Amino acid sequence: MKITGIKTLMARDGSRPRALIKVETDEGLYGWGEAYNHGPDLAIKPVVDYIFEMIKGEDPRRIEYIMLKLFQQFRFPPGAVGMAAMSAIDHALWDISGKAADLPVYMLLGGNCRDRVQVYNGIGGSDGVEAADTAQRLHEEWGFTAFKTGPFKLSPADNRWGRVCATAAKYFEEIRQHTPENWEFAFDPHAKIFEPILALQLANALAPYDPYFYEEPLRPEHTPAWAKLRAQMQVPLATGESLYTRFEFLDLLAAQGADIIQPDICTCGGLLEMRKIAAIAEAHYVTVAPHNPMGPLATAVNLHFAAATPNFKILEYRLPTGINWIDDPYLPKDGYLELRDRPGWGVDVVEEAIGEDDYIHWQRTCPIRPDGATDYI
Amino acid sequence: MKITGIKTFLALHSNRMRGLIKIETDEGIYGWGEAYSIGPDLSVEPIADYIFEMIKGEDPRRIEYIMLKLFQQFRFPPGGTGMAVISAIDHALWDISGKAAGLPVYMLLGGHCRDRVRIYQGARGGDGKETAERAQRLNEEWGSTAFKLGPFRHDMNSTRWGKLCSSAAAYFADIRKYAPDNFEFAFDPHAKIFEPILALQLANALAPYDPYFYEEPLRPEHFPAWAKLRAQMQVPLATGESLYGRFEFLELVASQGADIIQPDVCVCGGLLEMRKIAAIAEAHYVSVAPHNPMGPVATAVNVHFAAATPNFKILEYILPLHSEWKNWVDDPYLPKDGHLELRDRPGLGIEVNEEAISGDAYTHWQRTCPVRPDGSTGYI
Repeated sequence: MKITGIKTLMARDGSRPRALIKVETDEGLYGWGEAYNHGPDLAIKPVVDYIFEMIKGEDPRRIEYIMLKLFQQFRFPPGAVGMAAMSAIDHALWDISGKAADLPVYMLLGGNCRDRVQVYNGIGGSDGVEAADTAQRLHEEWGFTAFKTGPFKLSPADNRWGRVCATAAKYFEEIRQHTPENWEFAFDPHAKIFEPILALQLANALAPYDPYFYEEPLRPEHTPAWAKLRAQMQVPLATGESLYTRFEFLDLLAAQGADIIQPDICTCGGLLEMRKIAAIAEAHYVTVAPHNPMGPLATAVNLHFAAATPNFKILEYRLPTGINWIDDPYLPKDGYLELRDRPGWGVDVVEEAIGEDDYIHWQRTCPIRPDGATDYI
Repeated sequence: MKITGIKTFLALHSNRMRGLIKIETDEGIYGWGEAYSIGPDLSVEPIADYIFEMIKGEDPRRIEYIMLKLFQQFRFPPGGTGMAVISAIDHALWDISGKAAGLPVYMLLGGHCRDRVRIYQGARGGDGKETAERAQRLNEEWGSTAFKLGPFRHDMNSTRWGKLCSSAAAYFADIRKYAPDNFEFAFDPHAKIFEPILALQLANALAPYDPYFYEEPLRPEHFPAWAKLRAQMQVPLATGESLYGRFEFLELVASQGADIIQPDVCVCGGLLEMRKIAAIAEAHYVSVAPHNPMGPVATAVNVHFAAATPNFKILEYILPLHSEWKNWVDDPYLPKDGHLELRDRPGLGIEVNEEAISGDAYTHWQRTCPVRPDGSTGYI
């Protein structure tokens, strides 16, 4: 079997674009992958076309060979756009491999070590009561019992940090008051805290109410700060959405910098890479809760990862609301996604549903501090 | 598909037994695996039977599920005999998975990232010239260009260490004199040196002649000694045949204790485990040269590992062809041009001749026991 073509399609998911990659073969089999939406997503297509020249004619089932070759040919660390494109190509190769073997992808990964995959959903609200209501609605409809929310009910730039922390504690306390006591709530400060000691103070404020985990409070660049923060913390520390490849995760894990890692299969390097990352994590007694804010194809890829990975913990999940470009998206039942027997990912992309001009420009907003300096979002 | 039975065979290979495991399924597909010969190999069968009760009725293609369950059910580290059986079961599960999918096992591992697998062979001779000639003959017959030797030309327990080191150097100098200068020669003191500084001295004695690698000079238990030795050494340090599981290998590579790791797929936990070990090693810039002194089933499993693993370096290889041994694999992997060629056949790509191993009388084997001048025992 030979790779004969790669197409990049720009689909829409609400206000954001989703770059979908289709790898085609001479045997008529094709595979789909989803690239992370970093922002400059119009750059995905030229990167993919550039990569195609390196892999055309290759057997798409030689995934290790192809991914190794891509890293060797890039030579320089590919970074966000490069890794997003490579990850999506990896997905498509696995999809083809599964279809060629007439097996779901998890059966190419040593088989499923679990029967269903637990998912959590994001919730928000102006206060704890509203957040609890949202959680309750999601539970009734889909069975979710785990949720993630933001801790900032006051703007850190405009308020004393002690108040920001106290307000976060009160928010969580209210959520606990209005929800069943076995539900899990994780908190995500979204890498916006610069000083590690402030991250610790916020973690301590939330700790009395048992956060499921405390996600990426700090920027990802300086690993020793993560080791120190984790050593001080009394609740699980999770991070990893901004990290690439086994090497960056090994750094984090070897430094004892996280209880839970959160690689994103659409930008960490793909499924092959994330399997290696998970193996490294497992040997450090660390679980994997994949970051998964992308579309329904990314969820499908993650489902196969989760099915086959012993130290998988829980999968982030977004309902594919308003998306018509996937034939049969994985939807939760009892708070879990069920495995499927269908070859490949178990979903197909509806190519006709993606229009030529579905691309939509998206960029992050840019917070401004009182002194006029910009901030992370 | 369901696991319906496990059979254990003890096949004769030279003067040692090889524990072979056959897993059978309700669909008629079966798979083979090979257990490491630790010594008390009569324990392979009762352990395999014990494990069978835990996995009968399971889908044999759910390898991660089954292996996780076995480690959970053992609860205590399984050690030599337990890991040997667990490893052999893992092999058989992969063999079945490949056959069920109609694919060679390496195609279930992300595909082959190389087309053939380089091997090295043992080439011991009475002196350097004889060793060089033996290497030359192996090269002519099989194309091998890499070899492994013991460094001890005298009894290590009754010879002054400095003399032992200089005789090792003279031996290697002779080999280099008589062998083509592109041949690789590795040296294996077989974990018999207790003091790390003596291991360093022997490495230094061999260094001028470019050893391919210097294998397991020390005992495997104390990792900080490996880190210190490697930090002092000027040639590649290899080890790992006595280590089990990803956790022990992580400790070794995290402490910077080796340039090359040498897990044995028949005792480290099997192919699934060795893939995880290799991924951990890769992230530490460490390559994998599997320890492989077992039989032709072990070699087959290693071929698939090597085919699919980017940081694979070279495979240890023993010819399965001595006339006094029964041929219990119909079509063993044999070297050509110093490499084993990949096969398209589903599963491990070999067929075990069950008849040839069914009647084997068990032969007891145990290690010899060196005794020092003061009457104390040493490692072999």
